[in-house]
Amino acid sequence: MPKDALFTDVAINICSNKGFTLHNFIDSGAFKETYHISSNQSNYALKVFNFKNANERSEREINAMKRLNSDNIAKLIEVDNITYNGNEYLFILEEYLGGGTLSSLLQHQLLQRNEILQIGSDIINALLFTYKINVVHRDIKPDNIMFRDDTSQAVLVDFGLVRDLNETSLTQAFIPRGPGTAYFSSPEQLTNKKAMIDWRSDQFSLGVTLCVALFGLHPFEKPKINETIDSVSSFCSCNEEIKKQLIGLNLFPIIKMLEPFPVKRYRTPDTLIYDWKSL
Amino acid sequence: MSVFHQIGHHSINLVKEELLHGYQGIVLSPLNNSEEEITHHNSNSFKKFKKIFDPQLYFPKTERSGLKNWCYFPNDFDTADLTNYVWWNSLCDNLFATAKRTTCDAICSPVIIPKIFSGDYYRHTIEVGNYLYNKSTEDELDFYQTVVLNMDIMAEHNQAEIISSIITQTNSNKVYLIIKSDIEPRRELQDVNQIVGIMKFIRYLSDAGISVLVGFCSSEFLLWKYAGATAFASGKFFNLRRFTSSRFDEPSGGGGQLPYWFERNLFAYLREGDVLRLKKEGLLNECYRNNPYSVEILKKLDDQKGEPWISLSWKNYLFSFYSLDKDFEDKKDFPKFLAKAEKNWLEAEDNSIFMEEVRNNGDWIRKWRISINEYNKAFD
Repeated sequence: MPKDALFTDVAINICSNKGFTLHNFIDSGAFKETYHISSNQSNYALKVFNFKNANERSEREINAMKRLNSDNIAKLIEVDNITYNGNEYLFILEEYLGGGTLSSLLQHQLLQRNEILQIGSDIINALLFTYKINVVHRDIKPDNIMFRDDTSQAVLVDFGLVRDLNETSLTQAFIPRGPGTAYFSSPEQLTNKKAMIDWRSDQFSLGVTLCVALFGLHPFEKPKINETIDSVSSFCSCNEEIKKQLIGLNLFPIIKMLEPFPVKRYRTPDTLIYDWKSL
Repeated sequence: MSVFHQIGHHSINLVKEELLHGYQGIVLSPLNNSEEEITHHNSNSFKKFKKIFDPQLYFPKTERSGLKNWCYFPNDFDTADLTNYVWWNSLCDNLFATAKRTTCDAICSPVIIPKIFSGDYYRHTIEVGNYLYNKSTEDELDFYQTVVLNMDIMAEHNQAEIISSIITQTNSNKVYLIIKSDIEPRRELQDVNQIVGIMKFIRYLSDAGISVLVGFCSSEFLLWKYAGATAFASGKFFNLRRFTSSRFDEPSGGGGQLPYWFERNLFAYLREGDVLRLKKEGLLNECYRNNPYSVEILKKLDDQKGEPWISLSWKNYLFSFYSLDKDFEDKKDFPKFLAKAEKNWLEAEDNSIFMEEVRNNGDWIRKWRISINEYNKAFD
């Protein structure tokens, strides 16, 4: 359900102006709502932002997506503004990913090794592109990995928390924890050690995501979620049992991806891709 | 492995010494020579060496020696906002042009010594360095990311991991490492946790595919070599004073320098009286016979004419420096060698052979041995 019915009215208005058909509401974020729309048998995702709340982070999301041209990153089609009932709204038209999210897939089943290899390969490829333009996604998790319905190719979505390393940080140093979903965040994000954050932070989150998809467990799993997060933010090593299982499945790169300090993870996407291809 | 001359005050002539043939390159300094002088040397007597330019902006004082006369040195250095990347990029552009003009083969990124060695500071040095890296590699100028480690904080928990995590954001695969300490002249490094922290830092960089050239080295360079550093620079004064802030103060004058002899058996620097005593007891390491400067020094001392040997002592040290680098290609030999040096110190003491300087008692050898053990444990 949309949090704000006004957004739906805005979406209807955009569709009517542009000749699209509105199908259904997909998801809502803090300042935006997403809808499934179509035109001439082509499907799209329409994201609507209230302009007042479309802050610098939204701008950075759009700027990053404009520069990212990868098969494994959701494609940005159009960005525009609309005035509705005297209020200004920003909207983004993206490709529609009909295969759903990894998290919805995981509600039914855990994944097999070959599926992990494919998703890993796709998202690592996406990270190669973010690395090249010096941006960090900062929110890699099952909700933000989607699939194309025709190819089952994994695609990285939602660059709402993207950090452009060429720009000044928007996160104040006094904040104890940086942006991101804590359960999937790297130790440097959880402790807001901003100078340490780079593509290797996304590498860590991908490692956690793949473990969750494979075992249904966080690799730093403790009895309570907050204890798990504390364990990660204390720069502890990941669970020995998980390590053994990853070795048993010949998925050793994931162990390196989950190193608490970035220096011990893969330094560049190329080196990770090299190891991943050897699996 | 390779060793470099670290150019300092009046040390150009040492580069020309034919007997110091083991050096592969030179780390050039703008402090002691003008651009014209460096350009002249680079295209003449330095031709065969790899020439690395260190811009030496560590202690921003515009009145420092000849630095202010170099084109890249900004007039507003004392007043500029040193967090401004536009300002740094302009400095890098000028630095790059200087390196090209002087026909250097490589350039080190400019860094200052901050009040606080924070993550933000290191991140800033990487951003500045990456700008210069991109510019240099486009024009086939070799590039070193400069990193200054403050010994005092390297003992803190996880510092090596945190700083190396930031430094590995460099685009370069080469780091020029400077270890800043406030250790007194003629004293050796003794803090185990600090030494282990630096060794771990070097190892992390090395494991990440970054080769480390350690600048301003003294005999402790073998610890860094043990941890994976691949190149080392030293100069004539580094047997006495390391990279300290006081080193960069204006000379205060007065007080002549004393010559020192590097003794392998004790892994220590000895004064004249010590050398004579050890020689009499037959305790000097026989390898001195392969060092032409050692032979010459002993001849002078035997002649008992009181002739000065300060210049020979520098050459003796520089010859020993590259001999040590060559002789410890296999890192496993170094711990054994330290164990032997410690035994030699104990024997000397048992035989009531004491060195002239009270603190020259070999204490640091044990600390270094502990450091190597602790380092090994961390990577088991």
